[in-house]
Amino acid sequence: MTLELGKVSFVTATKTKEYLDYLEKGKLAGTKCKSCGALHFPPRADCDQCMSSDVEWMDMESKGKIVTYTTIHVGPTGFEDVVPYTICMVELEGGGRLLGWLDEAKEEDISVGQDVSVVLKELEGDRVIYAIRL
Amino acid sequence: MKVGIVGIGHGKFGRRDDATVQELAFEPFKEALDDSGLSKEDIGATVIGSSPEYHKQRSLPGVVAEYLGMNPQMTYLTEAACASSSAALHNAVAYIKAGIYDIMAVVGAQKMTELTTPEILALMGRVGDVQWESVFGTTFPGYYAMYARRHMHDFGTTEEQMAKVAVKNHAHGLHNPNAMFQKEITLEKALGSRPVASPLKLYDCCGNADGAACVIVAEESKAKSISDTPIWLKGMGAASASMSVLRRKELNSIPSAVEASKQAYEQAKVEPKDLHLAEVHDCFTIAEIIAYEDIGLAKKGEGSKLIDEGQTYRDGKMPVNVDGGLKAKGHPVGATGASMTVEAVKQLRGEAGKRQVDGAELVLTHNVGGIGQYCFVNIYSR
Repeated sequence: MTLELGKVSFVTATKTKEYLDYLEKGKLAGTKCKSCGALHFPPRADCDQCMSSDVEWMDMESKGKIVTYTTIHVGPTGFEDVVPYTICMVELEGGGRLLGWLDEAKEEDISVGQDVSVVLKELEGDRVIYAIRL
Repeated sequence: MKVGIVGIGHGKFGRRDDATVQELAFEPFKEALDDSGLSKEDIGATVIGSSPEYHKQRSLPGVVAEYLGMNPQMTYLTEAACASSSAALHNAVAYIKAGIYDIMAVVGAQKMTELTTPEILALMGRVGDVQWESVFGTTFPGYYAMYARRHMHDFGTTEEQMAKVAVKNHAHGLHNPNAMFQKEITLEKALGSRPVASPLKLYDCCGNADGAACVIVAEESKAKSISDTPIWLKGMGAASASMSVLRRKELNSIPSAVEASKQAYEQAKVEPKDLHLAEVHDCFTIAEIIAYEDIGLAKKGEGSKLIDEGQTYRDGKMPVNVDGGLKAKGHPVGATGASMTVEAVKQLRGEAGKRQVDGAELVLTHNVGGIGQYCFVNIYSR
């Protein structure tokens, strides 16, 4: 069984599908361009800096800081049953940003710039989300 | 060669249960023809600006051009989300400058209310990068909310200042018969409205609407012979930014708006202080405050001062959105850019009635697509 990222998936085919294998091992992985050294997270199969398609996988840090956040009260299709939920944008140590859900804390407890950890949390068996914890 | 606007038309925005999208398009097209004194045979081609996913009808230009009686002339769609008809205008002007057509019509048309609520909610869940962002339930208000939160953190902007933008634009919309909402609101009502995506509340958000607007453009010598008061496009900036907000360096400014306005000012050889009016993309109240900064009406971080001091009211030092903005007019996404241009032309001709800005000689429009993935900034003069 392969894990899928997030609560709902829209993309089924991608050159970066190996990302899901790293998720299964509990790891966040980005890609690094072997030609120019640019780091891509979320991962890309092709480098937009030097246009090379020669990239390698590398582990990302799971600690970072909150860039911004919002609590969604009117959710889109597939998210009706989880509102309200707080989306945090996190800048990882060493680079790369992700969106995830605030976990085990309330919006009132967080602020921009706060140190957080990104934990991979399984949801409904075959899905995994980035849980943002203080 | 200059390109002039010689005809304008603007339909009623709002919930238009009485009309199909092509019927909506007909209203401003006919009005623009009458306004210009041209007949449809004079129009070389049409470009339709719209966001197609809201329509049941696929391939919109087909049905619109047919209904306008504009076959067999060239027509096609431009899509740049909420800036689709500004993209259409950009296209038409390029054709005219290239000498391919002398006169063209740009029609922005959108019907948003024929979708059911579940269909709208499904679309709303795919406004961002669907691979890495939408999987966490991002929404259109949610993205601007993340911008708002960051702007509040970086510059001290408050929820009350954002609400003041809504109060102002509703006050302006009172004098626009084409606006969806023609009623004033109080600061208390705006601040007390229910949360949508914190810190944004219901009154921080513009409303989905149906509607259409049309602009007829012509090459310089034709424009002068068609109209006694052609309005000239002095500067036209256009730029893009990453789809993914994760890849934006800063979340307190829309980078495509900064770039597009820089291009427009350079082409027009004017500065922000020379403007008499700006029509900006206030899809959310925070977007108007950020727009003040991005187009140079205020220094970065000081946009909220303009609204606090009331400077952007019609009788203020730098009027913004005197037609009510997206907030009061409603936001039929494909029609909004053309609607801004129509207001710019009305103001420059001195035909804006109760909402006329005295002595308006230089007007800017700022039309943002999506969360700034696209931005078009135009500067107009008499």
